[in-house]
Amino acid sequence: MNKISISLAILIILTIPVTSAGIADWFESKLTGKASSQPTDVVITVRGTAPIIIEQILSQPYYSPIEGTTSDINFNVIASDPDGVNDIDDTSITAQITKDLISQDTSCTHVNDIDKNKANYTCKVTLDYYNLPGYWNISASGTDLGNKTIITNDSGLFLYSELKSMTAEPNLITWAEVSSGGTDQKAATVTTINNTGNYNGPISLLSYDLVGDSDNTQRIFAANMSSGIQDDCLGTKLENNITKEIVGSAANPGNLLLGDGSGQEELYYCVNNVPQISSQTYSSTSLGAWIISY
Amino acid sequence: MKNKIKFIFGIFLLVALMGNITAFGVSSPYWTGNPLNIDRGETMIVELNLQNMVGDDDVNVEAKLVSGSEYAKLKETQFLVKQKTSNTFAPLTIKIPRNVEPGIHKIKVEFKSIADDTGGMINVGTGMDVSFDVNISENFAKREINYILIGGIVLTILIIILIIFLTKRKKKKRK
Repeated sequence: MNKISISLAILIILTIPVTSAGIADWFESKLTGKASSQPTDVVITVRGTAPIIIEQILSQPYYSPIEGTTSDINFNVIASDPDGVNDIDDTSITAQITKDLISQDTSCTHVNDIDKNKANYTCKVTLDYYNLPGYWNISASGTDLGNKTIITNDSGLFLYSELKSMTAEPNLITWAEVSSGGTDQKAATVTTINNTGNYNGPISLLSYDLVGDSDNTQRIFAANMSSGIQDDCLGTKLENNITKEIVGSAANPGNLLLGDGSGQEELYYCVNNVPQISSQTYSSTSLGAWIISY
Repeated sequence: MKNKIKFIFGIFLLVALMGNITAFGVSSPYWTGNPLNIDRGETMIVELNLQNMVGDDDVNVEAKLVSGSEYAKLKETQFLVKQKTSNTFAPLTIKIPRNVEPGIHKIKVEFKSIADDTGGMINVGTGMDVSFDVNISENFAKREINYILIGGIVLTILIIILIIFLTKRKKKKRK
């Protein structure tokens, strides 16, 4: 009889589920039908209700374009949250630069916590050499994990400088030959001017008389010549040692890589009236090179 | 029969020189339409940035102040702008006297690449004019206090007082 009782007791113990709740809980659940209690780790994250504040946008006062390439525009955003820096959503900090109808967006990266409520973020955008000079506005936005309201501060400003820059190719102006007393003798070369900066305005030419290399008393006067944007000898009349704006010319800033004429201009040259002069070489050696300028 | 004026260059020379390009650039924080606002008595250095990022050769650049010499001064006028660089600066010092009338004055600096004479007919160089207005306000710039000078004077006076004091004390002891 005792053996039967002991065997029964062992069987009961073995059929009770082995859980951390223990035997009492198991009995309770069986008797009351209610779920037994279990200890468990509970993590409650309390998020603040105050929204983020974009306190400052710190930028250099001005940036220079770089000839033919891009310029990095780096600035910092200081954000704070009364509920602490841990409430700031670091991934939400973004910035935008705008000028007229052009804008660029970027994400900012957390640099460091300045104090328990304030954090520092760095942002970078790039501007092309042909982006127009002037003031660009910076706005920065962000949100926090509790309030989730997106807050924007658009008080940032920087100046993008003017870059006057060009290539002129070739660096010679040549005529195959011209006839003494002839008219409208077109040059064999055309100067292609690539605007590698962001200047937007006309092109000028400083010219000099061409002096005979053998007999320097004879000249082809600059006043007998013209330069224009079309190959028609109807361009701007030149004058010795005077910078003349070439009528109709434009620096036309733009992306040279497009190859659609953006950022390019061509200058043609013409000897409108060749004087009655001797046959020799006439060049710019004596009085100096002609200067194409912005 | 008209004379034929033949120029020195032949087809060979022309082709050989066609590939050459002349290039450089100047960046300025002030330009026509974006004036420099300055107070009377104020001095400012405007850094004009010379660049040669596109050309394949170093470029010799000559600078000349053609307008505004009464207020502006270029420290240097010759610059070697090395190829693939954008860090050459031409400092332009602008110093406005305190007794000048407020108003707008023009500053213009011409930069020219000094072209090598390649022996062709017309050599071509490039030039960039940096031109901007200086808007002199009615305000006067605050005079800068030279704390080092003031500190030096105060220290000298204290040393003199100390020497006098010590000398008198010695004399009293001798008596």
